[in-house]
This record gives sequence, C-alpha cells and structure tokens, in this order.
Amino acid sequence: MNAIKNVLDVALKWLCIVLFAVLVLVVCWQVFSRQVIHEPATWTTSMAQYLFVWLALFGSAYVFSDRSHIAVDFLVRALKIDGTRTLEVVVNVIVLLFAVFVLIWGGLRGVDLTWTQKISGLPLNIGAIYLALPISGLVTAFYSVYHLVEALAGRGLPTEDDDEIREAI
Amino acid sequence: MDAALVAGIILIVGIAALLLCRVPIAIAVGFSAFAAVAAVIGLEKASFVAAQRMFTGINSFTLLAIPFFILAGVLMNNGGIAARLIDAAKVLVGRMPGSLAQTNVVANALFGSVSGAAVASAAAVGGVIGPRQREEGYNRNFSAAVNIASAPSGMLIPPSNTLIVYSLVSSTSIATLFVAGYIPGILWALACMLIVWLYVRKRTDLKQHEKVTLPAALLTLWRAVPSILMIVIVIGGILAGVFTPTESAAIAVVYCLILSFLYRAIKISDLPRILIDATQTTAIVMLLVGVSTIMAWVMAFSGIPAAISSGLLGLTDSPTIILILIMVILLIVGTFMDPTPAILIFVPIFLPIVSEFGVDPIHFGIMVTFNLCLGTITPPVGNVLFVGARVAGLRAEPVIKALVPFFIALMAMLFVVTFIPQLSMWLPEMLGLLGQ
Repeated sequence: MNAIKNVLDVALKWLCIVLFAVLVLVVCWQVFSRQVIHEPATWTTSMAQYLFVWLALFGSAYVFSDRSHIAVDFLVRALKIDGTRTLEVVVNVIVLLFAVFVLIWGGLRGVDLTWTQKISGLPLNIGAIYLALPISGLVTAFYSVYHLVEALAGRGLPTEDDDEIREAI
Repeated sequence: MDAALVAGIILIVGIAALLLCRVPIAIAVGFSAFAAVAAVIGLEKASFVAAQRMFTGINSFTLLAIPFFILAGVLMNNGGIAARLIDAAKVLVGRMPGSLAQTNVVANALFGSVSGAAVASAAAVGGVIGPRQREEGYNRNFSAAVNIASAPSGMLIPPSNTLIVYSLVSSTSIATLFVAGYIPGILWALACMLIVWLYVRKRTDLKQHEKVTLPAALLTLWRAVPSILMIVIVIGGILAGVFTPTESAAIAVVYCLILSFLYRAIKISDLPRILIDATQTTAIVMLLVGVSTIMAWVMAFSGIPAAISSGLLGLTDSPTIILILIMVILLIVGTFMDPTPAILIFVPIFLPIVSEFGVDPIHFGIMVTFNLCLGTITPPVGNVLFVGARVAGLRAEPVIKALVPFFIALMAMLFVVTFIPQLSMWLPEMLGLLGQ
C-alpha cells in the first residue's frame, strides 16, 4: 500500500505542477493576444477555467495525502481527549464517505449527463472535465483508506506539533 | 417535522459535531451539507446535486485569481522581493523612535500591497527583522508581537484573496473591494505603529536613529522600485480596465518570476517546489469554496438566514445593536476559524440582514474582513500568531501577552471602520467605482 501511495503522490504532484504552469501560460496568452497582437483568443477563458477545476480537484486530493486540509483541533487539545486514534478513524471514514458518495458516485453521474455537451472553441466535452471529480475522488478514497489502515494499526497518528500553519488568505 | 427544519438541523449539528472530531473544515461542511440535501431529495439525487454544485462552484474565471496571487506570494518570498521591500521600509521609517519595530510594521504593509497573504508576510518579514531587533535589545516577545499584529494588514490592502472570496459570496466587484480596502488596511498598520510608538517612547536604550546617508537611502528605495511597481501593474491595470483581476494576477506571477530570475534568487529547478507549494494552499481554499456551494443550497432551502435574521430582529430593532451583535459573533467565530471558511459560511447569513438596514455590501465586506483578520492573531486558532511565534523561536503564550495592547488598538479600529462607512467607501467613490 505504501508503494502505491508513493507512486500516486509523485504522479499527482507532477500533474498539479504541469496544470498550474500551463494555467499561467494560458491566461498570459489571453492578455497578450488581446493587448499586444489585438486578436483576442477565444478559447483561453474556458480552457483556463477547466484547467483550474482540474488543478483544484487534484490538488485537493494531493493535500489529503499528508492530511493538510485545515481542521479545527483546539477543542480536542483543550479537552485533552485521549482518543487521537479513534478520532483519526472517524475523520477518515467521513472523508471516505464524502469521496465515495459525492466525488465518485455523483461525479460519475455528472460525467454521464454531460458527456455529449460540446465546449465551444475546444475539442473537448464537458463530461471530460467532469471526469476530474470521480478520478480525484478515487485518489482521495485511496488516501483515506490508507490513513484508516494506518490509524487502526496505531501508526502515523498526528502529533502535538502538527499546528495549523497553512496560509491564511 | 418539515423538511426545511430537518435539513437545517442536519447541517448545523453535522458541521459542529464533525468539526469537534477534527474532521477537516471542508469535509465537515461538505459532508453535512450533502447529508442535509440527501434528507430532502434522497441519496442518489443528492450525490449528483452535490457533485454538480461543487463543480460549478469551482468552475469560475474570477476565482482563478486566487491561485495566481498565492503563487505570486510564494515567488516573492523566495525571490528577493521581500528583502528589498524590507530595506525600503527601513529607509522610510528608520529615523523614527523604535525604528526596527516600525520598519517591521511598514514592511508588512508594503508586502501586503503586493501580495495578500498574512502568514507569508509574517514569516518573511519577521524572519529578517526579528533577529536584528534581538541584537539591538528589543524585548523578544514584543518584537514578535509587532510582527504578528501588523501582518494581517496585507489581507485588507489589495491584492487580497480574502476580498476575492468575499466578492464571490456577495456578488460585489473585486476592483471596488480592492480599492475600499486601502484606507482600512493602512489604518490597521497605523494602529500598530501607534502602539509601537507608545512602547518605545520611554525606552531610551533602544537605538533611535539609523545613520543612513541620503544617497544610500535613495539607492535602497531605487532598488525596491521594481517590487513596488507591481502595485501599479496589478491594481493600476485592473482600475484602468487593461486586465480583469484574474489576468492581472497572472501577470503578477510572470512579473515576480522575471524579477526573481533577475535577482538570481531562484533557479529553474526551484519552480516545481514553488508550484506545488502554491497548489496545496490553492487546493485547500478551493475545496472550501466548492463545498460551500453545496451548503448554499441547504441554506436557501432551509431558510437558515431568514430564521437567524428574524431571531436577531426579535431581540432588538436597532440597526446599530444588530451590527454590533453580528460583529461580536464574527469575532468569536474568527478566534477558531480562518477568514476564508468564515466568510463562505457566515456572509450569506449576515449580508441579507445588514443590507436591509442599508449597509453597503462593500463596506460590510471590509468590516467583516477586518474583523476576521483579528481572529488570525488570536488563540486558539490563529495562523499568523502561531507562525509569527515560531519564526521568532518563541512559545505562543508570552507573545499573546505582548499582543494585548495591539489587540485593544485594533479592536478600537474595527469599531471605527464599522461605524464610519466613509473610510471604506470614500476612495471607491472618488474613483467612480460605486454603482457598477
């Protein structure tokens, strides 16, 4: 399971890096084509939006890999609840349920219903964009099962030092 | 029981219970909202509705400005831009009493005017100025407190991702919000400078004057010009109608990248690390935005905003008291929740109420952001507080004591910003941005 996780981590990481880099280029091209060569590109806005959906969803799955989504943990710490392991199990079951029901199941319905909707200006259909939901859902589900197994085995539990140091935007 | 009530209860109880179990905020909100939808329209339909709403919530060209500004911020931290802004701040206020502490405040505000991340600012500026303050004999808790207290000013001074999120939930113009944030953001910094001045007044042992020759000072400012120019490109570009906010953010990324390469502060091989760093921050925010659109469905269906509104109106019919009540609720929320999720969850509830009293949505956005920024420097959950303390190598508790005077001054400033709408509205009005 560790081996699969490592492969997924690396694959997701590079997918996100490439998506982000292309995203910057696409929006810059939008400005350049309009302001400099005065032939506004017609495909850039929808292209950028869809790349962004992919980046957001796959990035979000990637963040589940090291459990960096922000949580409110001061009460648990304040009450000194001695149930880190139980809570870790609860957290990952909820993440798993959300991934299975909303991202995978709901996402697949979305893919199904939009598979024939063409996007103007791009050789793609909306359904292909929707695919990011079930795929990132599968990855998220895998990570939650991984953390669940780890927690049940009593490994890899969050420590005291895991302060919330995420960017406050 | 009727379906609306059931949905409302599932949402509220679900979010509260899951947050207590340390479920990530995004999943706590998303799962509870999904469960509430399922209780109304059944599991199968609900899973599709939830997925579809998440998709459409993220699928927005406007929101795309957020990852770009985040990326530009990460680049600035790595790219020698932060260092030049700090040097410029030192020239500007270096002759004031307590020069290093004042430099810290101004550097944070300058950093905020080219980026929008308080945590990054506290880490970058505090990391450079903190050690120098220690050498000159400043109390370590005090200097950490100065850095922490002044860092959130950047979330009000544009560009600001917090204001972009607010513009999303309130359907207001980003350009107008950005311009409205200038004066309150500068007031935030001035409140910090006032407290620093009161503190250093009696401390004659602290170095008062930095000996800098005029040519050296001008050279330092000149070196910071390319960094400051970013304000002209980003904000000027938006106001002049050259770019949309999203486009200006992409241009900011390219501009930061070029400067960073010119300053030889980053290498091509650093780029993947920088991109993935920005991706993680982006993804956390976007998942929150996505699930909050599921929640919006439940809110509308269950009539929660209307119920809270009539509850508040049952207590009093004085707009002033209701505004104060809302501000107190948000202050409490802000102590344990980041500004972004707090805005996504609570603005849809409170904005309709205050709009009825004639509070402008732009002014409300500024006061809410100001309010929630206070929460980033308070325990138990305060990102800027904990990062600022960590950068200074201190535990949070003693720093919190040193923060108290700053907190009092900023609370007073919040009161001023809340009840003098002109502070937020005057600048956009002058620039003809209202009523667009």
